[in-house]
Amino acid sequence: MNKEIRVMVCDDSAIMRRLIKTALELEPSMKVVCEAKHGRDAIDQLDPTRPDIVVMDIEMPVMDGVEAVREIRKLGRTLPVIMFSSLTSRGAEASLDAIAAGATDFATKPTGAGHIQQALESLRRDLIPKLLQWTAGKRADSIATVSPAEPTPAFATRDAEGSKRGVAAIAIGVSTGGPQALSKLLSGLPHDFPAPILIVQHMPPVFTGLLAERLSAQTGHCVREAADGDRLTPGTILIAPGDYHMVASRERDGVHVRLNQEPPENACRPSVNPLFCSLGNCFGDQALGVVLTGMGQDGTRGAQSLKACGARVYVQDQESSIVWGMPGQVAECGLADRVLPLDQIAFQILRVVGSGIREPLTASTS
Amino acid sequence: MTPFIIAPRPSEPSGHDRISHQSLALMVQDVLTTMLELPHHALNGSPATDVPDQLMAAVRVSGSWQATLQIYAPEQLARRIACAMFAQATDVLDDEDVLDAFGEVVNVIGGNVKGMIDQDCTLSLPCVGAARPDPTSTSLMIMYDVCGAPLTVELIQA
Repeated sequence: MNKEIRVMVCDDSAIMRRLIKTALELEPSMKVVCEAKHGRDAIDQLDPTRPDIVVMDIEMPVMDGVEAVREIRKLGRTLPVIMFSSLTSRGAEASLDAIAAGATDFATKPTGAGHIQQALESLRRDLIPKLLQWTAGKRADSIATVSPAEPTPAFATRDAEGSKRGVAAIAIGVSTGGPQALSKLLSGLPHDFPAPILIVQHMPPVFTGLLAERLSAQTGHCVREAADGDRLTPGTILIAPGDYHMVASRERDGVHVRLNQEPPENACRPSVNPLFCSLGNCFGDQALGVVLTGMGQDGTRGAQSLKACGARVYVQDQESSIVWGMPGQVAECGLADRVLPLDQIAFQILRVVGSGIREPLTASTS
Repeated sequence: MTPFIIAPRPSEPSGHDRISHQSLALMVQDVLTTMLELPHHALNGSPATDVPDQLMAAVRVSGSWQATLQIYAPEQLARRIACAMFAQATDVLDDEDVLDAFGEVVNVIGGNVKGMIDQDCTLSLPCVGAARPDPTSTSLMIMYDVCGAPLTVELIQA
């Protein structure tokens, strides 16, 4: 028998509450059990309505969404809270604040033209999949999208890493849970880190720029959003801007970043796959792909490409991942050289970068 | 806060301690054009006092900058707005739909007013009721003919 998923919708806009309810009604397993008008209202309704998941607006009167998340966590409630944010710098900033305060994930609100059908389509595309994903374990009929495979033991070495050349460039792919994971990983690297790092974090425009600013402040590294033509130099840390794929391109004067708007892969732009593939093409066995926490399977095709070039692939382990979708898929496909707890990834990167940095950006693919 | 975000125009000033007639007019026109796609044109003069079945929706901006935004329209126009917002025919909408839609309009405009104020402010929940505009008001007031009915928008900055 299917278990019904009880959803609380907290938004000061009656229209938005109605839109979300209408969109959810198309999912037979979901039921809106509470419509709260602001954060305080949501907290007051938690006990009487017993939701399994909360969709939380950010800017609301009385108590905003960020404060509400803090209060919910203070109460010891672990239910998923999905922030529902506008695609603005204010919305992006608040979403990142909310995630730091304990929100589970975020989705962006419909923008632009106000046609109800377009708004509903946007909800079905951006919000509903996240609700389904985060409640998959509660639905008896759910198909687990997080890999059900047994976790590969940490430090399982699947090929002779010792025989490889050192790493000259690193690409990181990450999605849900990314801001915290990236902050922790980058904090473990020295400020004179000698190789470039390219990051694809599944996020929309505006969010990626703000994330770069925050990571700079948190880690002391200079992290910035990539611009087309940026040259890779030692210590460069670039994040792909939202809505653009980022690839590495070997050109006459070195390796550069190129941005493009080719079709999304795995419904993602930026996608991890093009980045990993391009890094393998530019650096061959001196490339390293790292897949961190995230839903879905983006990165698997890229990891295959890296392995075909003789490059290394590391993935975050299940225990330290918020969602073991992307890394789990790579591990299950036998593409991971190492499956590591988050707090050991920086150490392992430092170990393999050492011998690859003598001529970091002129490495050939041969 | 609002389902349909209308970004402030780049040419608009921000961080001011007051909203100009022009910037308020642009916000209202954006809602009428982009969100509702309703034909409209600006009206001059004072609001009429003999319009029947007038509804008012209001939101309050509070904080270091304070103002109340109020919009007025006859029930017939509010219903037309609800039809546009929900993309449904009049006969399938109930009174609650109409009030929600009218409240959403003031919520969207109020959200954009708040967005233009570079100060720490909060927006109240919208409230909707029956009221008429005061033709003698000295507050910032703009009027439109929307589908043949008057829409009055008033910003009381205090």
